[in-house]
Amino acid sequence: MDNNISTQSKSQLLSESRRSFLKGLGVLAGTAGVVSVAPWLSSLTAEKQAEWDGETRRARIALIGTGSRGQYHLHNLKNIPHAEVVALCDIYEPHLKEASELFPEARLYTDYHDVLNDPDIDGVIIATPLGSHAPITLDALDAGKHVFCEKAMALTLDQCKAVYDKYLESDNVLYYCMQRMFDPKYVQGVAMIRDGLIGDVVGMRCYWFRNADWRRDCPDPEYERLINWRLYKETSGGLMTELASHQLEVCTWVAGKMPSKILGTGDLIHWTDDEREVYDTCNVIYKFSDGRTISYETLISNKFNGMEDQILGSKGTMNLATGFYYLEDDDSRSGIKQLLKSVKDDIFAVIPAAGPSWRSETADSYIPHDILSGPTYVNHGQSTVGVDHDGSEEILSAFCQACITGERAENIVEEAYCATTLCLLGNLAMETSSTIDFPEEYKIPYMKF
Amino acid sequence: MHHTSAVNIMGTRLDIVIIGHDEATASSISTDCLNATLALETIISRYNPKSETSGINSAEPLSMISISDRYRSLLDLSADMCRRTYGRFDITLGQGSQFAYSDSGDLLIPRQGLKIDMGGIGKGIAVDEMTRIMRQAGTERAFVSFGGSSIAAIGTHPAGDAWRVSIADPFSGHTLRCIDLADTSISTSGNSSALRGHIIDPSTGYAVTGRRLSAVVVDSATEAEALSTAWLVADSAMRAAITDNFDIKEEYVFN
Repeated sequence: MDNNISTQSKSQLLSESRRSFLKGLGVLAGTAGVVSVAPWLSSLTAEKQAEWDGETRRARIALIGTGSRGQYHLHNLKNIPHAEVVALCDIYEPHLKEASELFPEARLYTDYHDVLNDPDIDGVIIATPLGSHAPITLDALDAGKHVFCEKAMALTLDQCKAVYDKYLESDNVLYYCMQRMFDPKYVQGVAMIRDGLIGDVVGMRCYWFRNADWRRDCPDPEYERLINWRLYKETSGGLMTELASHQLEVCTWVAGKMPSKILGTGDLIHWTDDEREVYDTCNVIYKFSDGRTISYETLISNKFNGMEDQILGSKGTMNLATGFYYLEDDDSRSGIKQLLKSVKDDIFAVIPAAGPSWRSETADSYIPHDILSGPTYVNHGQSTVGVDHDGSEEILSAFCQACITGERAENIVEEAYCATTLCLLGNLAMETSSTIDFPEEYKIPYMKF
Repeated sequence: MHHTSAVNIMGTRLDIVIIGHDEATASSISTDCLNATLALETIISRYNPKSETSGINSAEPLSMISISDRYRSLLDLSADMCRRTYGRFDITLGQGSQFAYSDSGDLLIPRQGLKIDMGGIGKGIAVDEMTRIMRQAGTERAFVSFGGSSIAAIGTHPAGDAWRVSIADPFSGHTLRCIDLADTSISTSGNSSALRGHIIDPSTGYAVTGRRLSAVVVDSATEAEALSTAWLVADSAMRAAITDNFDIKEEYVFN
């Protein structure tokens, strides 16, 4: 692996990718601003970067769960020079074989306990079905491994609390793959919100719409519940844990506090031809103590609205997922910015350009403004595996760095705990058609209500 | 991708987007485009007292005014637009854009004086000049928007088979229609909530005050400008007659 690259050039390569990441953050780069907005990015600051320059060690990484998302991480690991994939583990042989083709030198395991007993492994990536996130994470921390686990944190509230408590006892690094926390347009957008660009944050609207059955090909019915684990309550929290977890994290990040009440309704309305148990339509409202709300909606039988994490302010609207903000009172009327963005993103789009000659005083519609001045990569939300440039590689890279330095990332576990408990309580609210107060027993000191 | 914008040119903003050249080349092309537009503005502006238009507009009746070859070509072009639109587009506001010249080429100011306003065609002429400069430089994809009302597209959007623009209702901001441009131009004319009565019907001398918006797609931005203005004041029979004199791709009137 990468044997033709000298350790020196590896270090330079790393620095370059880090610098370009920070550069993407524009005015935030190199200032205390990054850390104040996103404390978990502290390992990427210029000061830390200087310490890191010249580092030649590589993190020895094992992947547990070699399905589509696991293989997505493997592809990203190929771009991370300070990581070495030394082991792969899965109970499903075809996936293990595919993964092994990507990293032929990695040791192969079918029992994750054997991975945890392997002393020549620094960190494990857990990309297994949700139901096994907590058990494997707990065992891995007990085994002294650093852990990078897919979101959501766990399948139940008790599991979340157990993992959180274990993390407090442990000295090890624990990351959850909530890549929006490492996505430059989110970091910059949240900084702009904190700076008051959109005024008073009066509400949040997040949604994710797809039109697909959410099934994976399953050649052998024996493996149905293993391959299509997302569809069964024994292993999955459905759309809330798989989709909403990312978006609710953004909401708690922006708000800096937790909603105190949860109400919702959900059902299985369209994909009723198989044995699935999880809802295909969900509407959940999260209410903060001051009356503000997060309105969350997801549906997988219509994709017209796509996906958005939308922060509503008294002076503007921040569409974090598409990388645009809009001002309530805007003095520009040019569609040229949209044109430039559509060319940059290579997306054919309508240019709202033609009308009687532009005059500043005729502004009467919302004009999109780029959150980032540099390139913006947009996840259109239709892939069920992952997309490039959404922060996934950066967060994994930061984890691999942490496997070497042993430095924990501030607030990642806490944010994952907040987001996951909100997802699980959303499911509970939908299943019981009730309004739920955030349960005392699951509150942690990080949460402000 | 190169983008240049100027915010106070011919009373509005100009955006030039050029794709496919290296930055130095594209920058040089857009500078040439801007300079050509500024040169045009210098001679046609009604608001610049030193412009040729101002010289003509302030000239004594029955006098003779020396004009540049460039200006003469603009008058010829405008006269041609007036003739082909049966007077519905007229830079002389009802005088029929009939210009007379002395043997030495001086413009003869008629007995009733001469008032020229190229505000309804200048941006189109500039846009045609810019696309000519780009094509000569080998540009294969570009988008020029002059105030959002006079737009020309060279080639297509890199991710599509056209440049797709929407026409917005100037009062509500709602999209009225989407139009694909590819080596064609569009011009829109009309009143907006903040700007009314700036379009005069040459046949009556009265300002158009209603909520009316026109859009015409044709190869030449100059023709598009003349036609979108004519479309505001011409009735449907007249529009049909004018259509015979042009190769119009698309035309709309929104009431």
